[in-house]
Amino acid sequence: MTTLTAFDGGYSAIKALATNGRRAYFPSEIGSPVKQATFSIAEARRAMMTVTLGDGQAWPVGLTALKQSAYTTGRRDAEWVLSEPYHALFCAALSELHRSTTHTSVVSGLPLEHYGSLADRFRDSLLGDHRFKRNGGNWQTVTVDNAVVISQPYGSLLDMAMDNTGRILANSFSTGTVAIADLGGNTLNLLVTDALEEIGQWTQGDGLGLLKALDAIARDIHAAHTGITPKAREVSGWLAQGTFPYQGQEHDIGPFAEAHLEPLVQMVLNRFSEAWPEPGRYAAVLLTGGGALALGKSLEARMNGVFANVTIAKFAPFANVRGYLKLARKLWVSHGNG
Amino acid sequence: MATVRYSFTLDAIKDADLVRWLELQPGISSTIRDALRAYAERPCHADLDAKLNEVLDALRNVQVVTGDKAATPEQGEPARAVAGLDAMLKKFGG
Repeated sequence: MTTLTAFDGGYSAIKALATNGRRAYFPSEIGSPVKQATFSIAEARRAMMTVTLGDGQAWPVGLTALKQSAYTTGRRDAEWVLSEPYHALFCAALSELHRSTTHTSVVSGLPLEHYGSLADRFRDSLLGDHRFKRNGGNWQTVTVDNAVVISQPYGSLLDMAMDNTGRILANSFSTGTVAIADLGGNTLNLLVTDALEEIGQWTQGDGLGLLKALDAIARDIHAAHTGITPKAREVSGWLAQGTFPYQGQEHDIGPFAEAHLEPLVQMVLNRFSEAWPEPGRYAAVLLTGGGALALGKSLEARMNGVFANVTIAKFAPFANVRGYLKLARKLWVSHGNG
Repeated sequence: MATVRYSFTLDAIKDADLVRWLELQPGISSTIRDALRAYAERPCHADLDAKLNEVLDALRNVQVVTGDKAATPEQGEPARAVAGLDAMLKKFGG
């Protein structure tokens, strides 16, 4: 039985799920590569995540990159999905999901803005053999036999419209006209569908995203507390918990966040007005993506009464990748391949 | 076959239960290998968390029905949605 894989490489976080029940979730950070990864302490080795690719370069990944590397690469341009660091992130996710050499089929996603120009090349980059070592261990090869690349907000829609086997449910998300706002680290995807089919005239994607606001919050925290220089992805985690650590104590992040998140909420609402000038046309609105964690409540409060059935996706950062896995089951399990 | 040797120590008093158990085993090396493998391959916290999420997701999709409706055969997928998904999969090249 082939294990199926759902993978989403966002600008903020890598998220992946597999039909074996495993999942991966770590910051989209890559440290400076080293020639060889060596670890002398077993405990540290378990906690670390480095991925060695075929050229022998060992890439610190995710939290390991944030903690161990002075310089990290968190690229914010569309073509990064075709880069070697992105491949290292993909292999790191595969190493979390699959603990040995194996075959799999993958559903993944891209932002709407770049889907047309990148989807074919991205799908080609996913297909075939991916050979890597995790933490300097043994070589492992994961072969991707099939790959389908959809748009990221469509994955979130499928999460609401399908059950876990990939069967389409009868609900407003599957049968109605639905607006989906997917706020990512560096993207705002606005998708409209009617009975799961995209309506192009009301669909758009652009570069507005949460990371710019996180950068600004990080700068303000540094200005007030010069003993730390936070990274945007750290700030993202602090926003979720409401505090940040400084000199052994937790401090309220609210005063730093409000100044930058409130303008972002206004900008997002303005985009909604431009893209969806007739709110009465939609049976439901879905707020999803990592940005929905930080902004969802504020957006929901101001949209209620204007739009019907405004819903924040459950654990929004994982909504699209849950949808990818459901689609994978629909595509490949029913054909006796899963 | 190439072999790798590890040595480790047990406390005769604190680990007396392990010492007794090991000495009852027919092959100590194979027993330790099996025990290490079972430990290494046990579900970790993330695995259990993922499984719990799957169960919660499944529960979210359960439709509670009562009375005569309980005997109604399962409805098929909405035809318009099936057609919509098919159109999108063609667009996505799936």
